[in-house]
Amino acid sequence: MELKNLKQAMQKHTFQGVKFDEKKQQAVHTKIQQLVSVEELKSTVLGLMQTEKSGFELTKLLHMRSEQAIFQNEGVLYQCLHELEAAELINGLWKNGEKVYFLSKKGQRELALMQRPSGGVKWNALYSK
Amino acid sequence: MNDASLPIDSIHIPIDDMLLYGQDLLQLVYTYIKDQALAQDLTQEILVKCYEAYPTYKGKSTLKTWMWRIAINHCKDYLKSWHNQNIQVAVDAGVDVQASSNVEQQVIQQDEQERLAKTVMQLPIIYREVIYLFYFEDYTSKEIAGVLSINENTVKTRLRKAKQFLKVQLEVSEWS
Repeated sequence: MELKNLKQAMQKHTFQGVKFDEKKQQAVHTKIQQLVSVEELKSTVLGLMQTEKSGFELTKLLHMRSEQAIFQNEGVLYQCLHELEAAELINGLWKNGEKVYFLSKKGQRELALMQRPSGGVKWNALYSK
Repeated sequence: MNDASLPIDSIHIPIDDMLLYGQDLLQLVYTYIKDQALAQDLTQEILVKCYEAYPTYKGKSTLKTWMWRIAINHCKDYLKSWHNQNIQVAVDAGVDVQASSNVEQQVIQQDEQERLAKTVMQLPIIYREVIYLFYFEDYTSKEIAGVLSINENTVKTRLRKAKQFLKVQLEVSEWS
């Protein structure tokens, strides 16, 4: 009995059922895709905020545009809104028991930047939570 | 979020390279967590974390070593978490899958290899991790020191103590 045999021993007796299969890999891809799509959703949402909108109105609009990111996952919109609000790109205001959002000055600038053709998801935006 | 941020497509994130380590990563996580389903979940979280943190990777160590450091910290955080310490998950399936089969037969069949593997898995974490990284992953003690952010001499001491402990447990007289 030697520790050199540890590899064989653990492969056989410890890791026998421990398998990282295709499905798991796919799940990782899906999660990453979601992270990226939240970023894309943010810019879409910014674009929709030329006039003030409530979360409910935004949801309807995004469904009309068949936005994949919120399909069967509407909650993600509010995550976006909160992150945009925290980044001071939009402002929220309570109106008749409903929160409405509109672009801030900073948001308008950001939107103008994004609408240039180079576009794309911004890395820092993805990374700063 | 600031205006000077880099477009994502200027950083190539080697997610496929990362996924190639999936199996090894899962095994590493399993040695800490000892629960298959949980280890799978944590492995996914770790891969996503690596993806998110990739811009901070400076290339000072290999990608694998960098990922291992993230993984090990993630596992330890989990073990320390309130959730882990307060929520009891049914039976720990990991350590002994065949507990329900004939015990007598199992004892007879339990060969030395199996005892070795089980004893290693029952070591306290600080000893288990150095044994695993050294003998299973073939890391040098210097590399282990880097991965675990501890002194190389500490690694050597822990390896020595772990071996002594294993020796007593397995009642063998010679290690090579």
